[in-house]
Amino acid sequence: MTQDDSATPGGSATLGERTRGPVTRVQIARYAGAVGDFNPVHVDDEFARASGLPSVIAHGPLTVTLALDAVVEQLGPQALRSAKARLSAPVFPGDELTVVPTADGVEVRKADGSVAATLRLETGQPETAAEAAGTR
Amino acid sequence: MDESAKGRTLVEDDLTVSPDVLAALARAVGSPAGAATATLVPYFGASVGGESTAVDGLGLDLSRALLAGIDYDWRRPFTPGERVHVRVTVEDVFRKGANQFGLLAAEFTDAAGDLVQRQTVTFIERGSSK
Repeated sequence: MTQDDSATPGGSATLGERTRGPVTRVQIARYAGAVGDFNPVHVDDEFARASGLPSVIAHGPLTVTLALDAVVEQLGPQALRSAKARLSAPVFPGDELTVVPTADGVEVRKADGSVAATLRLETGQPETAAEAAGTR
Repeated sequence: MDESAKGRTLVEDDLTVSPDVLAALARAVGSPAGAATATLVPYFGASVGGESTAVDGLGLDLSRALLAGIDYDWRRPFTPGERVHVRVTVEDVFRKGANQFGLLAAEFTDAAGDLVQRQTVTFIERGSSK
């Protein structure tokens, strides 16, 4: 999908492509602290390597949150009704994520083109730009 | 994974949607929209009752377990400082082929008893022998 592509999840709003990241270890640690999930695969490199991974990985909900953030940036939080997120590949520190519109939501792509997550979205009415930016 | 866990309530508690937690999550997101996004996803249903909620509740073997997906149904964003009631239950545990699937449901209701958000968190345990 190109930079100009867009989607209308729920038939009510148009989304554009956005980037998030690169994801950092500090960001992963901050997320762990915020939601209270210190599973060692996210914060302990030695544990992650023993599990067959090259390093720690981002929490799946963090990847989903970054995708939702790209949507909230454009529509505001009030517009979201539901999201069905499927995680398909781990996200590592250093990964830059591109949140790309699809026919029914967005998908999160890594720089190598692999898809880390797919989100089917239902939205309501988009907010004004000021509401979407959280300034009202 | 413990297939007898289906229907079990793992967490039932009252929470305050702490502005500090929202700010910490916004900082983790690290974008201009982060503060607004944080009001949609301040809690992860699998860890809202402590990080062992899912591990103990489903009997997960972390060396073989993966988070496969999260579904959100929102009625509205959370309001900073509000009190909410959370209930986390084991919605289903089933086997499909060599793998087991465990679904946790987390429902958040406000002081009036109205639903704020419902999450369904899906775990897969690969090659389960239990």
